[in-house]
Amino acid sequence: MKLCNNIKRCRFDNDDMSQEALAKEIGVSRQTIISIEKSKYIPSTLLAFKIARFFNKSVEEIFYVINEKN
Amino acid sequence: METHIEKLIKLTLLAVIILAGLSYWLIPKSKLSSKFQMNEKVFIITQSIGILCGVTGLFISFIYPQYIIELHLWELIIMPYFIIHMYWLIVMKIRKSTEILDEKQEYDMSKAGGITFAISIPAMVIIFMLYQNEIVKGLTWFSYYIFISILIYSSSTLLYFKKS
Repeated sequence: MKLCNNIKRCRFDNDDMSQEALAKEIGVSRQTIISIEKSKYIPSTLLAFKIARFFNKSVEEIFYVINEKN
Repeated sequence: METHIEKLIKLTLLAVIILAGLSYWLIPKSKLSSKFQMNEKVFIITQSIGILCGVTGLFISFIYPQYIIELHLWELIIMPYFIIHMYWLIVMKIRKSTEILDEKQEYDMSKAGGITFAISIPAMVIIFMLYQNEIVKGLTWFSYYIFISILIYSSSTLLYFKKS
């Protein structure tokens, strides 16, 4: 099981927002956004909600789970 | 000559500690407080200073083992690391919060702390063996231990932070 996300797509849909700008809006470092986008770091529930709220979407629309075997 | 150098180092250390203390109390009340920000650059600079202090300390401990403790050189080498952490404390005081890092930075630091603890035990065993065989003499073991710890901690924090 792996937690993936649509943050990159959401950024592009949001006027090609940069990782830096998103990081600033959410209140984290750019490196944290990079790690979350690449699914290298699983954000806390609070951070997941912050990201979802920023894009006016539900958490499930941003984050989803995939089975790594498939 | 050595006594003069020791006195000079002690005075420098005292001056830096007093200045750091004054900065902690005065900067949050001054206009300078707006310039004190915590961001990714400060985090990376902190870890880089840690690596630099660690490498310098180990190098000096190896080259001048007789002076590193005796002349308080280890405290002088560690001073930049102390100053950058004073900067963190000042930012905390300005923001009136201890939460100045984001959750991944905190996570990376805690992982690095675990790694440092795990490596410091065998490192201490090796240093103790060297001490027993009189390769490491006097209190030099302490400088080796502290600089190895700082080096491992800072480099692993930076590595985890950049690994994405």
